[in-house]
Amino acid sequence: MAPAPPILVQDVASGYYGKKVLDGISFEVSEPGVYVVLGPNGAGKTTLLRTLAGILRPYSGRVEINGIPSQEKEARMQIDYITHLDGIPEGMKVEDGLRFYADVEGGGEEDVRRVIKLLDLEELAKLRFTQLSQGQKKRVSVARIFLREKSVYLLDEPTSNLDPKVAKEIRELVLQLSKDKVVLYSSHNLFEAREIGSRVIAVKGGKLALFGRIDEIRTETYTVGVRPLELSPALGQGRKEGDYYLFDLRSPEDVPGLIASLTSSGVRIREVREMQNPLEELFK
Amino acid sequence: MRTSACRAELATIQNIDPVFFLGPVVVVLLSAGLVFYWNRRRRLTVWALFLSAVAYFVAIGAKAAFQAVTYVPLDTAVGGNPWALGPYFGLQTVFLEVGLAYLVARYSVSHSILRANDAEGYGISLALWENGVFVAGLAALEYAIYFFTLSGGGTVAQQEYTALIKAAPSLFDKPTAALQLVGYQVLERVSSTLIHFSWGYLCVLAAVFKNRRYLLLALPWGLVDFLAPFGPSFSLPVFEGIIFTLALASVAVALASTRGETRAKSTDFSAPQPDGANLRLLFAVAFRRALNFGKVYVVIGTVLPLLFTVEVAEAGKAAAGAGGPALVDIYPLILPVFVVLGSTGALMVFGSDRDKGVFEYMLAYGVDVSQIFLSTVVATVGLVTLVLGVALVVSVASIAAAGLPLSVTVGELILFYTIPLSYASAMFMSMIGMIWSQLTARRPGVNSPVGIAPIVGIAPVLAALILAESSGPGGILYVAGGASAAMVCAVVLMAWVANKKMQRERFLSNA
Repeated sequence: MAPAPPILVQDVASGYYGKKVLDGISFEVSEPGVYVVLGPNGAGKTTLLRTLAGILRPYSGRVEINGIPSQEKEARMQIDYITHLDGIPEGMKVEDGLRFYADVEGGGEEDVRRVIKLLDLEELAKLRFTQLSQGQKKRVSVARIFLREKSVYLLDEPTSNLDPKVAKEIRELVLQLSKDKVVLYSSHNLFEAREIGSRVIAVKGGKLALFGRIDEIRTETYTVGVRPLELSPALGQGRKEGDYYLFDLRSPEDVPGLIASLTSSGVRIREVREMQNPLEELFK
Repeated sequence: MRTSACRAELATIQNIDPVFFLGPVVVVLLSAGLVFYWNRRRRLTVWALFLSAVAYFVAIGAKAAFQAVTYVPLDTAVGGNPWALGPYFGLQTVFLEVGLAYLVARYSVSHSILRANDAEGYGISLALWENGVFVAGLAALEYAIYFFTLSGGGTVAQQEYTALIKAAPSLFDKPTAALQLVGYQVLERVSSTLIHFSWGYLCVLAAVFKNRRYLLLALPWGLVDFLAPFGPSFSLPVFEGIIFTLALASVAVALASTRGETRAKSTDFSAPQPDGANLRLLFAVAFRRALNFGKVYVVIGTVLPLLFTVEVAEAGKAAAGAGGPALVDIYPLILPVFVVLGSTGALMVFGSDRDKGVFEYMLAYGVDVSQIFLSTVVATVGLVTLVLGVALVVSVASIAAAGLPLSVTVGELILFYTIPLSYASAMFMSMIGMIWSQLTARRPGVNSPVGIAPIVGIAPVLAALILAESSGPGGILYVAGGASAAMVCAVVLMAWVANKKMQRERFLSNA
């Protein structure tokens, strides 16, 4: 008999206080990797993760984690979960907060020590959580998912409000995790989604807009903006929009060629940026 | 400094031998030691401890209520005939103590809270509540009251001595004889421990394996109380010997009859605890945090009664001199108000944890709604124990040191009014505060349910006081007992309903 998939969602409706936020959601996650949960604000990303985590009871449908209904304790014990809130009890020091969650998850002191070392939290361990910066708080919050080994990780915007350096560190840790675990990673940062995810679960208006591989999503054009140090005739090929000259390419792979062409024509470039992300197409 | 008149008085009043304190101390150490050993070396969970407490104290409350109404008329009707009173006591224990132990076990097993390998822990816990807490606690308090009262001298001491020398002359035996008596008392508690263990053990296994035979083997051991009215008919060694023999037989029967089951299902007994929340540690953390969060309230709840005690000591002397009521007699009635206030910290932790998203994580990690509520109630109970313990010890010692009379009435009030009402009101306050804050819009500060809940907890105390005033001198204890039992039942019911019906989204932060 084939093993049950790590996540099975079948025709699920879920929400708050009787009001549906998600309706008719169905998908199956059967391979390890990072599944980026995308959607605009209010689409239902957090509701989906809470339903998978067993925090919310679905109004209808079926949610199973490794074949066990998500509401059962055994299912919830196979999941690790991070929300946008830090969730460290007030007044606790960093190591006490981690110890608290180690106790909740049935772990011990050795798990706390290991995680402090893994996330470079030695200098922060004795500080009160309230004394930490935003980035440090997030690092501690993320450290929680490494206390015990689980099979499914549900991360709700783990890098929101973080500076790029810390965000990158966290994404790297998540990528390491995803080699043999299922990670659902919610984000509304489309650039981040393309950097970290192999698959996308797109939610729009409470419905599933897309479930598939990110690299299979194609648009007709890929637009980049070039901001020059000074004006140049070679920029006339693009269309001006604000400080940028926009060029429509077939794919991101064409960007180096464009830059080479412009610089060889004497254009001095201040900045190149992506002006359109194929994932944006999902939300049109 | 004692006057010559007092010295002459003391020559005629004897005090009880302090060796009597040895009995309750040994029993408490034995019961607690068994619990500690089983928790460390075998298996005794917080749930087994808590559920057995529910089963035991509800049964005892029910027995007390039943006997309050029926004992005197029956005793009068049968003329104290032990053959009539025996079944009266025995059947109560069978249906109320053993019966409730089974019903609670069955409910717990059906909700996967207890398993087969909790059977021993459940039985040990039942024994703890009966022997280490109720009987030994009662005895220790009784002896303390006698000892301090008789030490104080005066009219009250004389009255106490006169009453005790008639009712319990053995309290004034020489130390060697007293020690023998203490030995038999301890033996009786050991017998009781074995019997409670046996029926608790059988009740859990009856529930797990749905085997009615185990229940039918457990129930008859309640009939040991049939022998209670026959005590005077036998010499103490013979009587205690019979009880002890029956106790040993109960354990032998319990273990022998289930041996086949334990062999066949040995993995159930040795199965490791599934990877999940370490509730014992969570409850300990909840208590520590509640103490830290609510330290101001703990101080208020502890210091105010002490200040009140000083006032009582001073004013009591003046009032006694003027022929007025001794304030020391009403002190136990006021204490629960301060205790409820002092135990607010746990509720504050609940509100903070919900707002910080802690509950969202706990739910995701497999902690149940009922466990979240239970940790707050357990923390509240811990705070009550701390505040009440300090207040009682210091105030009783202060009153005794001030030379004020500490009568048996005061002792009874503390035991049957102050202590149960304090615990019950504080638990009620916690549960009401939690449920109310979940169901209403979130408001900060003193206008929040968390801020108003202490008033909710104090209200039953004041209501009980008013009802007690109108019920007459004997009625106060029944009012307190009834109010306490009602509040504890309400707490259990609210927790059960909330676990089943409360929407989980109510545990999410608004942030």
